[in-house]
Amino acid sequence: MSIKRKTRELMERREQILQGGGESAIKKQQEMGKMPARDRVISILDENSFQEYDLFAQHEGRDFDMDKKELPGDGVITGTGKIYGSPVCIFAQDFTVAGGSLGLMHARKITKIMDHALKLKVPLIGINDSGGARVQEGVNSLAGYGEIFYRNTQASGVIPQISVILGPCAGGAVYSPALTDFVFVVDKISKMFITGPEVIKTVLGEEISMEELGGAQVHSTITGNAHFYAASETECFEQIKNLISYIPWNNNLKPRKLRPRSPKNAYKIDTIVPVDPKQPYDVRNVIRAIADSSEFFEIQEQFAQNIVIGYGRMNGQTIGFVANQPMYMAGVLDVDSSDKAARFIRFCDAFNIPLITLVDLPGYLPGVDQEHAGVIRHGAKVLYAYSEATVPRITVILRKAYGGGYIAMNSRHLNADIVFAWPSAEIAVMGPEGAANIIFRKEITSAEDPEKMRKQKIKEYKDKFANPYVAAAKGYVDAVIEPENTRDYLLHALEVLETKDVPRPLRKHGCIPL
Amino acid sequence: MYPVVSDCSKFYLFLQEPMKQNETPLAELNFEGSKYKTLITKKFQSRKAYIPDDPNKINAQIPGTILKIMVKEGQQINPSKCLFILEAMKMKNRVFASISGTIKKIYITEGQIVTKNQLLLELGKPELKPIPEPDQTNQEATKERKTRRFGKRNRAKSDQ
Repeated sequence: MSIKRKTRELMERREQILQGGGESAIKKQQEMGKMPARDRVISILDENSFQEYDLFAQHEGRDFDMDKKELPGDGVITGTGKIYGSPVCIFAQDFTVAGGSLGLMHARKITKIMDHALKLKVPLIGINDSGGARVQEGVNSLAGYGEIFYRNTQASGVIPQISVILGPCAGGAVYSPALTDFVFVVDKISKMFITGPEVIKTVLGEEISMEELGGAQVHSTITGNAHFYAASETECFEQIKNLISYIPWNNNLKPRKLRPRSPKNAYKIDTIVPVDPKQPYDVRNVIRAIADSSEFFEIQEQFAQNIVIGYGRMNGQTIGFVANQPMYMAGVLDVDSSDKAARFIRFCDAFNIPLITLVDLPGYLPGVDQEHAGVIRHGAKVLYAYSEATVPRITVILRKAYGGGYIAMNSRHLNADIVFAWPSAEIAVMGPEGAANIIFRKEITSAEDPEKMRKQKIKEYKDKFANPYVAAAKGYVDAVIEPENTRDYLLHALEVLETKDVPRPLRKHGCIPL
Repeated sequence: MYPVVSDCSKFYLFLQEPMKQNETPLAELNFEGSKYKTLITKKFQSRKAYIPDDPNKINAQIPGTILKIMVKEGQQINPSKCLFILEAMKMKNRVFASISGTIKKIYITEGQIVTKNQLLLELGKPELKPIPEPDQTNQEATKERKTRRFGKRNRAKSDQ
C-alpha cells in the first residue's frame, strides 16, 4: 500500500468523524438556533488556527449494547488555536453525538486539553452543550466530572478559564462552569440547573419552564452565575474575543498592551456627575471619560447593578474598574454587589491587572433581608479582596463615601496605593442628615422649632464635614484633584506604581469568608 | 401633545418622549435620613417583609408527601409527640411541635403533596393542665434519640 492510499484512508476516516452526529441531528440543532460544535470552535478562533486533538477517540461504553455504537470523537471536540494571535486551548461538547453526554473518553479528552492548557499556561475555553452524564457508563462518567472539577480548581488563578454555555448544562455538569472565571450565556440557548423542571415537577409539584428555571436571563440577572449575556451565538463569540484581548495568558504575564488612545470628547467628566450627592448618574460614563477610546467592557451588566465592574484601558494597559453605581440603589453595597466586586477584584489581582476604584456610595444597605442574607459575611469579602490584592490599587472618591462602605471601597486604611478625591467628595461616618440627628439630638429635641433647628444643624455639619479636606488633613486622601484632570492623575499614578512589589506573608492560602 | 400652527389649519402633533435608559421611574431611597434619587433593582423590589416565626403554625420545611398523620384535631400534644410523617428526599421525616398545645386545625390529608412553607397544622393555646408526662428523664432520652434518628424537628426557623 502506498503512502498516498494510506493518506486517502486517513482522509476518509476523518471525513466520517467530522460529520458528527449526522445530518439530521445537525439540522435539529440548527433549527434551535445552535451552530454545530466544530463551527463554533472555528468561529471563535482566528482563521486556520485550529488544531484538533483526539479526533479518533473511541468511547469506553461496554454495557447496554453501547459497544455496538459509534460515537464520533466521543461527543467532544478538543484542540488549540489562537484568538487575536493569543494562544488558547479549547473544547466543545457536540450535542449531535449522544446528546453531548459525558462518558469516560469524553472526559479524558477534556482533562487532556486542560492539562495541556495548564502546561502551556494559556487560557482555556470550554463550550458546554451536553445532556449530562452518560448513564450507560455509570460511575465512570461521574469520575470524569470529578476529574474535570479537580483540574478547574488546580488551574484557577494560574490560567484564565472561560465557560461558554451553548445548550443544556445540567446536574453535576454545572459545577465546571461554576469553578471557572467567566461564564458566557446566550438567550434561549443556554440552560443551567442542578435539577431540571421535570424532577422538580414530580418531586415537588412545582411547574416551571427550563427558561424560567435556569435560562440565560435568570443567570445573568438573578443568580449572577453568568458574566456575559448575548442575544446570539455570534454576539457571544465577539464577547469572548473581546475578553481575551483584555486578559493575560497566565498569572506570570501582564495583559497585552495596545496603542494608547485618548477618550472620546463626547464624555465630559465634569458634566457627568451632579454636585448634589442625592442625584443619580451613570458611573459608567465616568469610566468612559477616563478610559482609552472611551471603551468600557462591562462584566455582569444585569446582576447587582448597584456596583459596576469591568475592563478598560489606560495608556493601552488593561485596568479593572470597580465603581459604585448611584443610578441603582444609590450605589449601596449589599450581599450581591459585594460578591460581584470581591470576585472581580481577586481575578484582577491573580492576573496582574491594576485596579481603579471609583467611590460614590452611602454605605451598606440596611434591612432585615440583607442582615438575614448574611451581609456581614458577604460584605467582608470586599474588605478581604481589596486588602489581599497586591496589584496597583488606585481610588478616586467622586462624591459621598460614608461609613463602612468608605472603608470597604479600597480606602487608604486597606492599604490602597493612591487615594484621590474630587472637591465634591464627602468622607464621613454617615450622611449629614443622619449624623446631625445623632450629634445634635439634644439641641434638636429641646429647640422651640425642632425642624428648623434640625435643618440648621444639618447645614452646620455639611459645611464642616461634607468635604474631602478633613480626610486629607489626616493623610487618608493623598490628593484632592480637579475632576477634569482625573485621567492625567490616574495615568501618572499608574506609571509610578509600575514597579510596585509587595512581599506577601508565607502561607498556604488565606481563608476568605465565603 | 404639542399644538402646531401650519398654513391655515391648526393640528396637534403627538411627540413621543425619547425612550429612557430604563423604563422604571426614579425612586427615593431613604438611607439614614438622606433621600437618594435612584433606580430600584428588581431583587430589592421583590424582597419579602420579615414575618416573625409563630410556633403555633407548623409549616413544611421541605417539600414532600404526607405519609401518615398521628394526631387528631382537638388533641393535646407536647413536643415529644410526633405529629405526622413527611416523606421528602427519600427520607421519612418525623415532625414535632416546638411547644405544647392543642391541635386546632389540620390542613393536610395522608398522601398529600405539600410545598415548602405550606401551612400544615395549627396549634391552639395550650390548656392549663398539660397531659401527664411519663418519666421526665426517660422522655428526654427518647426525645433525643428521636431527634438523632429522624433529624427533623419543627423548631423556630429564622432561615425562611
